[in-house]
Amino acid sequence: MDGVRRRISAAALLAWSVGAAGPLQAQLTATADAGFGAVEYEGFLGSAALSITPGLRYDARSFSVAAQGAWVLYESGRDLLQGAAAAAWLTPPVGGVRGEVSGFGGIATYTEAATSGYGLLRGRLHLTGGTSGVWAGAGMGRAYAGTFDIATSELALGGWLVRPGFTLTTTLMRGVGVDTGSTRAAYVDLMASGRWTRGALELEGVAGLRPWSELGDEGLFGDLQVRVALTRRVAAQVGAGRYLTDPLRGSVAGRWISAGVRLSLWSGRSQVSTPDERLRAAVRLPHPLPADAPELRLADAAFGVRGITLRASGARSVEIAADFTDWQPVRLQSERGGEWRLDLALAPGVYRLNVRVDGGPWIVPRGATPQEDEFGTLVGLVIVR
Amino acid sequence: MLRRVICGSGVLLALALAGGVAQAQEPRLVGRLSDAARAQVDTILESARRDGLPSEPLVDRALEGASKRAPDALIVAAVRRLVEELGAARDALGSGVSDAEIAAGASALRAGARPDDLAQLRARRAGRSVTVAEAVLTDLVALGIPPDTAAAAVLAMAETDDAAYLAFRRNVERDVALGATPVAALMSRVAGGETAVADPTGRPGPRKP
Repeated sequence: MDGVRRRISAAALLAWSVGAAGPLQAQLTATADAGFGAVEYEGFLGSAALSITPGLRYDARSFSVAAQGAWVLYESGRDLLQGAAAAAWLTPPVGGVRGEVSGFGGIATYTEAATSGYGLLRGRLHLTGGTSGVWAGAGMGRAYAGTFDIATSELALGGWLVRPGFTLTTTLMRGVGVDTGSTRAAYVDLMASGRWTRGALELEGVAGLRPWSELGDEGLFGDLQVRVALTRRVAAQVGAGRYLTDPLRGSVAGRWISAGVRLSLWSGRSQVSTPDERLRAAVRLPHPLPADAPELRLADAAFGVRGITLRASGARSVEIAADFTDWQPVRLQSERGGEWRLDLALAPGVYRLNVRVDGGPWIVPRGATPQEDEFGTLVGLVIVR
Repeated sequence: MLRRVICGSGVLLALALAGGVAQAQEPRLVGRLSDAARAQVDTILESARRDGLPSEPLVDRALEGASKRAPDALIVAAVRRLVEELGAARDALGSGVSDAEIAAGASALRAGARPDDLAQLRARRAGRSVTVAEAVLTDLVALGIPPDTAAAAVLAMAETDDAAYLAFRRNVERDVALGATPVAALMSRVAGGETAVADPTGRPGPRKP
């Protein structure tokens, strides 16, 4: 979703405001893109893909909001459906300083997979100086996909520059994702994005470097898109690019190339989508678990006894039924901090289990791997060493 | 004297038979399964014991089905399928393996591993238990990694200890949690040196999106 983020950012809004002949007028823009291309997501084979992407955007002097949907049909017949929205608001300038509050979020479903989504709220402070400016800011949000719920945050510095027909923004960002098990992954991105127009021709691109990442995916990324206006309402476009894993949005790395057309249904100036966001993959998980499923942990205790701990805050009772209980419900003992515990002697191996909270349905806890059983339900697998 | 010996033998034989009958009727199934289902499961259990297969996983599976109020037919079918998998796992692993290794091997076969994977694992970990390695293989597949890719990675780690297997699995799960696809997570951990080979697959790769 870099395209939405890039275009909705206050830096870009400021750049357009300053670069335009006069103050930015309120403007509604509606577009529809259709394209055909090839994608190669990390962990998947390459595939041809067909995409249709409607978009809507409203710009006012200090406020901008955009939304878009996307439907992508892959060569395999599977498809991806996703939607994204973003908004930004700029305070009036005070001595060359402007504040910005922005937010964006999205949701995606991929054939036979868990729905994934993300959201981020961001605050920034801009120091503007006519045709250029710098900013600093922070943001926080969440990303989820099936079992996983990740708290995200970012710290960023940036600058922008405007020349006739040309805008350039640069960003240095440190992003962090922390899952419910307190596992953390941080990374740093340095990127520059630019847009150049002359007559019917428009070039737009991003060049970036991830010099450090706890996910181990350091490297270069970027894209370039070329758009040629054929008529007032129809433009042809081609593009190609590569992007890295984005924990803030729960998306995986990939690369793409595409060609297509853009129809301007209303007005004709702004764009809200790019091929990379249309073709970006959703995280796919085999079996989603409820977001409020209790979390299971196995710990060693004395004399070979294992402590089974379930974290279920606010629960009145927690029960477990498993291979090691002869599949009879066994109530766990309540401990401090919303934890429930059962001590058992367990030999090494794989065990199947389900848990339930307050007499509710039997479910798979977080920390156990969900698997379809032979009885039409999900069972959790745990490994004991 | 001879008569006493014969009589004594008769008593012993009767006791042995009685013991055999008692063993064939798994007491934990009483009251949990219908009489008809229990009779069928008991027959499977007896057959498994005769073949030297572990019966505990079979009892567990029947009890799980009962706990989930599954129909008799489903419970019996699940137990029957499991005994076949236990047999296949035992055949693949060879003699001298523990019940836990056979049971974990059956889970791995269910997940999609091939008998040859188990045989190779056993050969490469001669003298060491393969239980945790098999369990990690099962778990990786349940995380969404194709069975052949997961098997190749687990085989590549055959020289490591159980703690390394569990750490590997935990790291793959963490990467998935943070946004990577299961295959990408596994490959990145492989490339990161947690296994001894650069490319664990050597077999059909990941599928198209």
